[in-house]
Amino acid sequence: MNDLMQRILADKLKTRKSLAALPFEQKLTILEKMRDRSSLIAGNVLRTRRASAMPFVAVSGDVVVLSGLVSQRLASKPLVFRQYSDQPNTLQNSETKVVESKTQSVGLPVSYLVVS
Amino acid sequence: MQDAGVIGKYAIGGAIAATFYLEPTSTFDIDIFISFKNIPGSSLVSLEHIFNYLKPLGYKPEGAHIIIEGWQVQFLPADDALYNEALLSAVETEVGGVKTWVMTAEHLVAIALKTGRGKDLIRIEQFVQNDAFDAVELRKILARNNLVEKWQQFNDKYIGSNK
Repeated sequence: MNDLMQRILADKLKTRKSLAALPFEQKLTILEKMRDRSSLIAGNVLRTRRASAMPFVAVSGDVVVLSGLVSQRLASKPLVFRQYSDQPNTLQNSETKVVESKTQSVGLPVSYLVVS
Repeated sequence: MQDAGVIGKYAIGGAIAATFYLEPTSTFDIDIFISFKNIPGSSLVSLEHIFNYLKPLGYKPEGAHIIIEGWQVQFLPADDALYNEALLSAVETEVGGVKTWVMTAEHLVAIALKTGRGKDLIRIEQFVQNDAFDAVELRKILARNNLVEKWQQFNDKYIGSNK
């Protein structure tokens, strides 16, 4: 193992020890944030084959109309994503919010998302 | 729940308890070990009284868990000697002004060793790296619960020293 790697590992251990030394309540707050982030990632439509195959392209300021199962999922849990056409499986650091959600006559919901 | 007499002595175990001693590690559930009431004439244990207490408070069962304030809480029986002594020797602490009990680091290591899943072995390695347990106390627990040989194997394979 070279010096750089040894330094990286030593720094990592130091960080872990400083985190371990935090008060329990503070650590629980971190855990809650980690749990919420994990839930968000686990529930992201990009993790499903259906979603990753979806031709969804949006940039900042776009209003996107989604319908069917994808909309159902987004409407119940607004997600954080932006997807470019040339990066179909890459989660982008962006936010979306449902601005309106309504049900069509056939029973499938439609959501309008604003990408920011 | 304890004040209401629904459960008696309890101890938090698993990843949440490990976080008491180590850096936070992502988890979805809280494992709470308690002494269960046996169903008369059966070896089964019942969660019914816990569910009956929590349901009217709006906490819903979901599989083996009950969702409490966003956490998947699982009540588990302290049903063998190791879990039972872990329960009895849990450390008292306070979270948000509420008194609670967390298993000792040594018992968490012993339980992880006994359970032996991949994530348990990683957790033991975290305890070792952080020097987060009393090796003498751990050896006593391992000896009482026939885990000394398993500990030796773990050390030989993953640590390379005899902690």
